[in-house]
Amino acid sequence: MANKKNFYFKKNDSGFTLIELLLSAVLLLILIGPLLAFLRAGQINRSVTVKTTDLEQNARAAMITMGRDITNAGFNFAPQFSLGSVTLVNALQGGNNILTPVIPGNNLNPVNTSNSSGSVVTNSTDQITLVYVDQTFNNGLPVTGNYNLVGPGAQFTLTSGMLTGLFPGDLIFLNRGTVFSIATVTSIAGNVITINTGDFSGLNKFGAMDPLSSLALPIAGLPVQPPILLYKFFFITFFVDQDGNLIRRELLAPPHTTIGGPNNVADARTYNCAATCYYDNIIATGIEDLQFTYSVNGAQPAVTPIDDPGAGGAATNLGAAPLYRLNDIREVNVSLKVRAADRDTVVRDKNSPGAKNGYYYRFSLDGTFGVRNLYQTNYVPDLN
Amino acid sequence: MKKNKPQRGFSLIEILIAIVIITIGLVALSGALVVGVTLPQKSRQQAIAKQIANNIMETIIAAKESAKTGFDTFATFNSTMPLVAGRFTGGVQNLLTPGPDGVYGTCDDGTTGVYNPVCGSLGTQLVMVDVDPGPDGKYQAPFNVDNTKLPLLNFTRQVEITDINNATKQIDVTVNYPNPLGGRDKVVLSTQITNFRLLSGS
Repeated sequence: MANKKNFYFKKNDSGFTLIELLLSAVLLLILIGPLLAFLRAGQINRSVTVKTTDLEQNARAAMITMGRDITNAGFNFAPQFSLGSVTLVNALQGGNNILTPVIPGNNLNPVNTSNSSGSVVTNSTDQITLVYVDQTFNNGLPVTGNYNLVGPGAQFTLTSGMLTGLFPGDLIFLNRGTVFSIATVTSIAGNVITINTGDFSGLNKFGAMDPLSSLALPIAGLPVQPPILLYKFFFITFFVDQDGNLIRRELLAPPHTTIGGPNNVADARTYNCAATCYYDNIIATGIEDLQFTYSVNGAQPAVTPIDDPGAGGAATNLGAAPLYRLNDIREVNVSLKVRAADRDTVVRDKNSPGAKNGYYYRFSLDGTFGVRNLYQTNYVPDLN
Repeated sequence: MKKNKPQRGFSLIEILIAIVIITIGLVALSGALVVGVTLPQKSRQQAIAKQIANNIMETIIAAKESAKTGFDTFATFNSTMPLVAGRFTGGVQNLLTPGPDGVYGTCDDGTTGVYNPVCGSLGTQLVMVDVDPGPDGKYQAPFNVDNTKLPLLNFTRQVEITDINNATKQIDVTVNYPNPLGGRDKVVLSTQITNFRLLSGS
């Protein structure tokens, strides 16, 4: 044994040579190196999961928020209001005061996003406005009263119910017989609501053909005129701003504290009253596209209704046959495309030359929600 | 004076053998790493499956809420019993598009065209998930031709509707998806619907 010594097994006091040390280090790296690929893959996957989970949850939360308002749209309109009447739809087309539970806006809002090479792209996104009766005012029931004056400065005098919770600037819905109108409260004094022109939303119109004027006209053939019903309602719009924020905008009265009192106590919420008063709530970010399609009564295929209010709520497009009415909308289909707020720099998308600084995660989400717009079921396609 | 121990180190061969042994050990451990790598992939699939299941349930509830089809149509279609007005196929199906009626799980899934109240046969169109808007950065038509779409090939869905009583039905939605670790997993959503509605105005 002792005679069989060789170079490698010789027992002496010398350590490794530098060459030996380097050689072993290289071997170690060669053998262990491939294992690091697993760690890298794990790192990438973790990064993907963290970013996409966040993305998906935000999108789903936004979808639920929209779904709740969509489901409420038209709530308590039925059966009191004949919102399916042709008169109202014609009024829409004429740009007059109309109210439907769902008011679509097709490709109204540009949103800036980027394509795979990093260039800015502008997408056109839809918006939707949803209307429903405010259940916190008089339990969602109408108060009744009389309409005292004709024309600007018209006064509604309460005969039954309470005006608690109604403020100047609030949106109200007035109905007598077959006449319907929306309006904005100008002022309240005691039991008298004044409706005058010059309101923040421009809704109070007293032209000869406007419903606000028609409300004051006696209904022919009735010895005793029926009272006017008054509802307070919510007016909520979902849209995407150009930075990709999905916004829930609630149209509100100007800041107020007491009925008819001075607006000298700040509301906790921040209003923007430059043009109209509203409260914006960003419910999702990174929206690349938002599209609504609508299913109308009678299980028809998804459509984009043609009564498409443009600027000022006036119809911009009378469309081609069949003419789907806004009041026929029974379901709203929402298609949401979201993108992560920032690039994932752990993962690099080699196929996208402009995205060398990282990769944007995207997620596509669809939802379908019924509308409580239950008034009309006698859907008749308009073939004009 | 205590004698010093001989200062022998390891030989190169010993070190090399040790390296090989360590490597074998690490390779064995890499199995755990593989699990760590594929688990996020599983959660991704699971996220898609959850969204799809939610979407399926939403279409069914929306159809009930909007009453675009009658309450009786929320039942399993039975071709041998024409009087049964159900539109739902029941059973495990591919993850087909909801079809013209916009409701998942019904007899026109996977087809295109005009809504037909009479049940025909299922189509073949699979649900596609938009992954990327493509080079133009735009999703919607007519810019959607270059979108990257992911067809959910190995996903299945099952919508079962059972009567609890005349006015109440139980809906069970199951979305089954492939697990990257092998085998399949599923997401199950259940709810009940009733035929309660506000009366229509007249």
